Amino acid sequence: MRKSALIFLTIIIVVVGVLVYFLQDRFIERAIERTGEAVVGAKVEIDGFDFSLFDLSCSWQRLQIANPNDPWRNLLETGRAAFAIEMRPLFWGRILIDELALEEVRSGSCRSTDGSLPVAPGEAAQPGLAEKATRAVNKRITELAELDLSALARTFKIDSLVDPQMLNSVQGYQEFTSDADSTFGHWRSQFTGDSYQRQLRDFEIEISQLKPDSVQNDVVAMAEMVKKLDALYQRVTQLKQQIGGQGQAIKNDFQSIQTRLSGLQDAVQADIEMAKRRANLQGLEVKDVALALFGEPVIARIEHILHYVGLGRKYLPAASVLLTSEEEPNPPRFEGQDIYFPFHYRYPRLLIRKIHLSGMTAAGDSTRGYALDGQVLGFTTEPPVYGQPTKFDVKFYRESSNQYAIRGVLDHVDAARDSLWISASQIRLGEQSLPSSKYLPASFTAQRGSFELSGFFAGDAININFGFQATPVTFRYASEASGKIESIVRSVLADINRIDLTATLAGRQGDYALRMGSNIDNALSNGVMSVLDQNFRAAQAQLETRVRASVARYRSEAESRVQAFRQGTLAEVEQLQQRVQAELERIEQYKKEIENCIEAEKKKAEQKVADEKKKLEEKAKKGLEGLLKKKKN
Amino acid sequence: MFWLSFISDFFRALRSGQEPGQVSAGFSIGYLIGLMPFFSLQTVLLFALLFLLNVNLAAGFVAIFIAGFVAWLLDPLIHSLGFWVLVEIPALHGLWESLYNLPIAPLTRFYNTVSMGSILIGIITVWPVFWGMKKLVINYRDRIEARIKKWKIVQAVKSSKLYGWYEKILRIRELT
Repeated sequence: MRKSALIFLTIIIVVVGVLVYFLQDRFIERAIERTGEAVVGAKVEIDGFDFSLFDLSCSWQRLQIANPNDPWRNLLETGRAAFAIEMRPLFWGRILIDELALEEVRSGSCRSTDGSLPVAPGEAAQPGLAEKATRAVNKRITELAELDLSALARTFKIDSLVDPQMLNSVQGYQEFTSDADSTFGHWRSQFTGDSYQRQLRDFEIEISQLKPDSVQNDVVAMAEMVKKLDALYQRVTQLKQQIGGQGQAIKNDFQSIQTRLSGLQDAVQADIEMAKRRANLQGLEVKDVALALFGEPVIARIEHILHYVGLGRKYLPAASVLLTSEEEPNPPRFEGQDIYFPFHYRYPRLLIRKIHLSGMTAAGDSTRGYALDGQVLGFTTEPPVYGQPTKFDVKFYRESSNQYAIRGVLDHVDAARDSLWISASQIRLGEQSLPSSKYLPASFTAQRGSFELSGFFAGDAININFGFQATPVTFRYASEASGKIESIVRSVLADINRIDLTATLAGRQGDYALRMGSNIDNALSNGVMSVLDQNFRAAQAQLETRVRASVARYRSEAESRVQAFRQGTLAEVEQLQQRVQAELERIEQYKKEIENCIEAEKKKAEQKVADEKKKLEEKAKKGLEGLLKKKKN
Repeated sequence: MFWLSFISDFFRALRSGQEPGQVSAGFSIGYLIGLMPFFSLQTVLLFALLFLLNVNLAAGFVAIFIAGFVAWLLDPLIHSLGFWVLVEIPALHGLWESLYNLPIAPLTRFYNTVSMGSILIGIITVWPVFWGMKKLVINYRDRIEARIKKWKIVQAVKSSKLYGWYEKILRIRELT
């Protein structure tokens, strides 16, 4: 053992200890800041960070998380926080915090420095849930034609709008008539009705010649007749099968032709709609008004929420994601590959079992500031290891005024299943701008409003329901009303003092649909229509009549073909089938009558035999008695 | 300069001073440290042994350098050996799992393929290295040193002014 070495080691340990003591805080602080920045996408700053190795406790004086969308404001700012780290999991490099209290939490506070991060060139990321849904919905809004109500007041030249030869339904009826002629012609040539009639007539004569009464009391003749009837029955049945087989094929073809004829009604309706579109007479589509007015603002909010759901998915990966990412590339030289064995403890890499949030803005002035109260349970970077979903419940409110509540469950234990509930009540709205449109308002002003949102996200399936109410509302327009229609729209909207909006975004695998509805849709639809009804509806009716009239000739021609076939070949088939059936029944009846007669004759013969037998027995008995008496005497 | 000093000390230790066992023990401990790819629990313990035991430090540091270079060259082989032991022998999985769940054992990073390969190669080769080094020191002192001293180049270097200055500096350092 070397004394000098002991001293040297002691010095080294002391120096390292001193360095760790003075530098560890800065080192850990920077590590946390970098991790946070990677998650949020904006600067994360911790002031007054302190870590104590002896009791494994941490604290900071201030935490600022910059808003990535507004880098001069904080998304979140907290005051002092202190928490303890569990020692045992540290042996495996896991950080477990039982309880973390974040006090003086504020949101939207101003920053003294820019909170944006330098843009690093990186690989184009795969589109996440938010991007896919937003793309699908934005495409729908982009496709939405600008609402044009000018058609409502226009007069139309119907003749110029409807060219019979350009109508799909006319072409459809022409093709149908040609096809029906071909099919019916085929059956008229193939269906040998005359031959069947002749055969049936022969059978009728043959059956009529058979007279069951003429063979009564003659059992042999009756048996002969039964045989004849059986043979006849077989032949008629054969004829019935022949007629039935062909008849069924004819009926099938007729049925499909009839179905096609009915389908042409839809083509007529499509032609009417097309003509209306050409004349801009589509009318007010309720869903389009809602989308045109509120689509973009609603989508902007939903996009925001989806962004955070996507962040949750990214930084709280589900088991399925962890499993797919387990495949490791070849290890770099001298680094090797870590082999992970079953770990018996539920220690995720980072787990904070409970986070308490509390705070008050406006320096604690409860009349002006907002109070924040909430908690997050089971916040972890490895939900499958922890085995429980992350839950959060946060309220943000002002006394006797507006309130916000956000609740959610991020269940990433197996596959990602997230649920989110957001509600806000009595929020001050002020003036809200709307997408520009010639006829619709440019903005609305409302004193108070409320909204609620529930969202369910399972894998890439989304179901978001959004509701918004605002009252009392007044609409503002970009310019003065210059025409009759604008004046009418404005008078309709002037009577509305409340907005009730509902929206649903649902779908899966990139196929997401947005449906919206509001009381404004109905009011506009009803109000504008009732005022401008005459011109608009008359034009619509004229167009419809014109299209129907253009089609009528071709339609009646097609229908007459069908009717003729029904009354001709088809009726003949049915009549033949009925007659054959009647003959079969007649044969059966004859056969039955004769069989009854045979049965009666049989019974008579049996009775006669029984009587004769009885007589013979009595005669024999008397004979025997006479013989016995003679012997006794 | 730091490393040159250690190499110079190492050659001096080969010639005289400490026992051959002390030189080869220092070399063996250094060899084990050099094989390890990471700063892990066993590295700390081996360093402590190197400093605390009365072994040759210079030999230890030279061994760290040589073994580190050899380990870097043999890295793919060491990785394959570690992977085979950790993954491809099912009978050992229970042992690794138990160790993985112990509080201290993971600090050795035994679950890393290169780390495990290095540990195994170290355990297998440390005795031959110790024995070989000891023999080398004895042979060096008995035979090789005398032969080297007779080499013309060595005599030329020793008779040079530069070497004279070097020896003076060494003497001064020994006195102070």
